[in-house]
Amino acid sequence: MAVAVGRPSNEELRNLSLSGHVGFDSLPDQLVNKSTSQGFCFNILCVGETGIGKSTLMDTLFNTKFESDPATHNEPGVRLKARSYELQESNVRLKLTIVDTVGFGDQINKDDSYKPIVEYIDAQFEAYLQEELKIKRSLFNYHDTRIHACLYFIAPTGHSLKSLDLVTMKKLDSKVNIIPIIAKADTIAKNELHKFKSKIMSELVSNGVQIYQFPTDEETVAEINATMSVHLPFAVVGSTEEVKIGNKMAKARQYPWGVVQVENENHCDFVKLREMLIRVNMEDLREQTHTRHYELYRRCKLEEMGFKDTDPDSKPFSLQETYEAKRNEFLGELQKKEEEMRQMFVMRVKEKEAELKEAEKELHEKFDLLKRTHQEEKKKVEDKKKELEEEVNNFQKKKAAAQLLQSQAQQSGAQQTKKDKDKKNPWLCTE
Amino acid sequence: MSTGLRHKSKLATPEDKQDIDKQYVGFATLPNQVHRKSVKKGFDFTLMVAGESGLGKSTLVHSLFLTDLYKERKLLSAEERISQTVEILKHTVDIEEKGVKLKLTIVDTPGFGDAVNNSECWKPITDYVDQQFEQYFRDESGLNRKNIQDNRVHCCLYFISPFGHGLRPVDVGFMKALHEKVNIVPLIAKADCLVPGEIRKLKERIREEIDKFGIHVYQFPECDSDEDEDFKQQDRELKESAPFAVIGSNTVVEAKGQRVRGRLYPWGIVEVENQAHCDFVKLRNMLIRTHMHDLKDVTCDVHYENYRAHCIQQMTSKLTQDSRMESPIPILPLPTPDAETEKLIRMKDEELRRMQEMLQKMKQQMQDQ
Repeated sequence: MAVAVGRPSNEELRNLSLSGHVGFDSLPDQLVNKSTSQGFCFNILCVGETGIGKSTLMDTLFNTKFESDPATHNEPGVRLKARSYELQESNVRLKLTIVDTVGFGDQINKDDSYKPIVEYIDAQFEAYLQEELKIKRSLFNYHDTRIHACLYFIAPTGHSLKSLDLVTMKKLDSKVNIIPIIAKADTIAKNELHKFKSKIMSELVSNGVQIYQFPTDEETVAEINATMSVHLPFAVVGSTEEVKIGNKMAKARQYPWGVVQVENENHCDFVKLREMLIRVNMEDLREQTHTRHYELYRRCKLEEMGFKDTDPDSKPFSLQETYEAKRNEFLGELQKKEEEMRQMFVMRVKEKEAELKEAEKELHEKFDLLKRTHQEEKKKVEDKKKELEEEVNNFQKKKAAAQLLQSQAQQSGAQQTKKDKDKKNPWLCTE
Repeated sequence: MSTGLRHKSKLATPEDKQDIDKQYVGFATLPNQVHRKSVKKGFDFTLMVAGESGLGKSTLVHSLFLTDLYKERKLLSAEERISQTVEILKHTVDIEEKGVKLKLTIVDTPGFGDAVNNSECWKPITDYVDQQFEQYFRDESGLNRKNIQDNRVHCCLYFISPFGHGLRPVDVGFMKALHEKVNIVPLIAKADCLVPGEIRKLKERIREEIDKFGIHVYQFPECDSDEDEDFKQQDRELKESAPFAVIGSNTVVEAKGQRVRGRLYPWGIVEVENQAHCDFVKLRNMLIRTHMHDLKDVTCDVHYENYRAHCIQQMTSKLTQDSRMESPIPILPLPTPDAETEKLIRMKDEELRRMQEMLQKMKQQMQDQ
């Protein structure tokens, strides 16, 4: 996409021809030298289900072994794992960041699978925006972590996209350059491949998913980009193992029925992907990310915050004023909230005090009641005690009286029995 | 030896053979009689295929039974599948080979695992299997049992995706929901994307995970110790290659001058029936040639009986709570002691005890006095 530079329309530009060599044709070279010394940075996001070959493909693309353990299928959710590597080829240094989606497509309920990915991308944009809005900023040596390319790995079912693929790509197409690829393509026979590719592309088009378009405006790359676009989505095979083919070693996969060569264009589209992604369009991907996706994010974010380019009177607002106004508003709100909280606190304290007082009163009442009942009981017990003592006394008196009577009776009785005995004697002898 | 039943040979036999004839009773022809009768009756087999879309289920069924069951099939596009529910489709064909008739029913489960939210996506399938059991249960307990149609699912081929590192949560969920109801035979689908080393690793991984999650897949029965070595060797190989890594194909291609069923790639031809390429032949032998009847037996003897026992238990526990409920099948009343009589007995016991105590007291009183 060519960037239009606005020129004031009243000025006339005259084309002059040079009569000698000035030398500003070395400007691009100067630019190249500068950027080479700075080093480049590129961030790739790989989205695909577990085991589909993301790590292997990265290893194959960059001809190295990025250490990573294969993930299990039991992740409870999707999380993103970013790893940065420093690569060097000739005198060009590349800071490569590979972001992996761990656990994508494994859960039974995949409704929220796209959320961590979108959040990550937004977070990188946010970080850049924050840096840009700083007062003292250092954008020239800022480590850009925004995602430049998203490789979406499609499973080779042979029928069409999966529902999860469609949903995720729709959420990502406005935030990142999506390059869909068919993974593990050595399972699709040649006649099925063409049908599969056209089905995928038609599904993407009919659902309005915008994938990355290879730029065709520059003459040098227009042709190659146009021919490559026909083969989208690229059907790739990845392998880090080398097999002897003919008299040299090549990256391949050895099956009992044949050998799939990764770099053979008849076998798979790996070479095309490498061309497109790395050798031709890497810089364009970075530019698109910055000028299209990042600008879109920035605009949405600032609009959210309440910034506008022009105020209701169509006079350009300056960022500064809006910022000041926002800040004051924010402080005002904070103060209000503080007041509210303080009031609530005071109210609560009062309530608690009242409750406690009530409780205290109740306790006092209870205490009095208990005391009274205690007194009453005590009195009753004492009364009873007195009664008992009286009874005991009475009993003792009666006992004493009875004993007395008894002793009297005994004495008189003893006299009586003597008389009786004498009377009875004559009868006793006869019996 | 005994002069009981003796098979009299009508043909003239030499002397040494006569001894053997004297001992020959004749029930050795029973297998032949069974064979004759079964050929006349015909067989039926119900096979369920389950797994995500695009794993080659219909192609494999085509390769196994060499008939195309899915002539007019409409495949849904991705957007339609976002919230698709699982359907159950039955296709029945009658096929015949050398006079033996087979009524084959394939139960397909389109939509399984296709939606974005697949919670409990195996529920329609378990409901279907239970329904078939219930249907058979009712038929079996009915009065007229002459023509019972056996629609119970005898075997379920579960397709595991080869693109992952092992079993996924949806695989584990499905198998755990169904392992006590159906014979599950797990398969690694589209095995032509794995080199031999990867196949071995994946099989080991899957076997480990099946053990870890406690899934009971269909176990091949032990072969008798008096079988010949060849057969035993075959049986051992079969057990060691589970789960089978299969490839299916609808097309016939030319390979080395022969026409074989296979898949044509720029780098070679995969032959479906080549044992070095995949385990399709093993699966076919197991499923059709050797273990078909065992699958049916296990379904009848184990899974169905479990279902039946569970069903009856539920019914009787319901009956004791609510005696007004009509049971659809005749159940013998269990000999439980009546609550009333028990109470009476207890009362009488109490009375007796009281009387005894009183007697004791009176005795004591008399002694004191």
